[in-house]
Amino acid sequence: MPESKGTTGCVSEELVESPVREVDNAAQKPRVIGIPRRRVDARAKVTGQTRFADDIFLPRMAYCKLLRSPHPHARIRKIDVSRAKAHPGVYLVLTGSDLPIEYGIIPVSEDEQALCLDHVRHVGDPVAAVIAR
Amino acid sequence: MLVTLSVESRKTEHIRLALNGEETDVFFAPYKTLLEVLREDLGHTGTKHGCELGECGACAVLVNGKPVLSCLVLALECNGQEIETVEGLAADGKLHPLQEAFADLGAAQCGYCTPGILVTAKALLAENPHPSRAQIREAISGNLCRCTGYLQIFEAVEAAILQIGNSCNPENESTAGEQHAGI
Repeated sequence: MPESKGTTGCVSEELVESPVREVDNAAQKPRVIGIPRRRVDARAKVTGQTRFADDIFLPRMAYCKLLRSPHPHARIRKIDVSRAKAHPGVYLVLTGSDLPIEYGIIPVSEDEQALCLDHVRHVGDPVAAVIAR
Repeated sequence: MLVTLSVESRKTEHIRLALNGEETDVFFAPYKTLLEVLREDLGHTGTKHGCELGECGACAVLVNGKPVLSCLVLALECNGQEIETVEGLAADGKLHPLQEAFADLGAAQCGYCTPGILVTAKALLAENPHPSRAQIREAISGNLCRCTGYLQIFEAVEAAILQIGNSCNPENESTAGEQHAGI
């Protein structure tokens, strides 16, 4: 089995071992096609070693908490962040107007907002973020 | 004047537990759940923080061999208990047959529910070494999976049961797993 020499470390085996070339000449039987392969990250997943974002702990790490909409559809008239900003240990309070650039996964439909600007559209739509100790 | 205590100074409680067979001492803040102590104070992040409401099963660990939702258990209640997490399943560098089967059969996709399902399945097999599909389904009904789909998980548990049965009778030793020995 050829070893992956890629620098990313996430090249899938299917890409490393091209099924077209991996043919046993003697028997003319493919050695890869039709044979289930273990995912490259499977061992880490089943041993709990995969590091998800929530698993990362750093010294002096700050935490972010989102304020989410309790309403399914509503206008945001105003947001007063002065008390949150004055609270001890709070580094930053963000609302929609701090992140005004809309984005989206397809270039022609960049209509998503990180934090709602003036309109919430579902229960749980994020309205404000507090970053604190 | 509100005084914010540092996290370190809130670590006023102490328990000793057998974590994956190893005697372990830990100091922690008294309000913490077993899940938070495992992840934040003991660095065992294999057990996952899901809903924190006892809905999803991602935080399942074994306490004295029984599966519990560690997000609903206070760490203070666990003094002197035996705790087993996903990190304790593999022994001497060899994966548990459940882990082998989950990896081989694609039963771990994103992997977030996997630790909870693995320990829950291990508890099932300890109680009932030959469960039916319905019993497997019942046993892991408290573990939500949103990407792999449950069929691969049921199939992996059944494959692990076969593997465990085979390794008890060495003459039937199957070659499953050798194929991946290099990974």
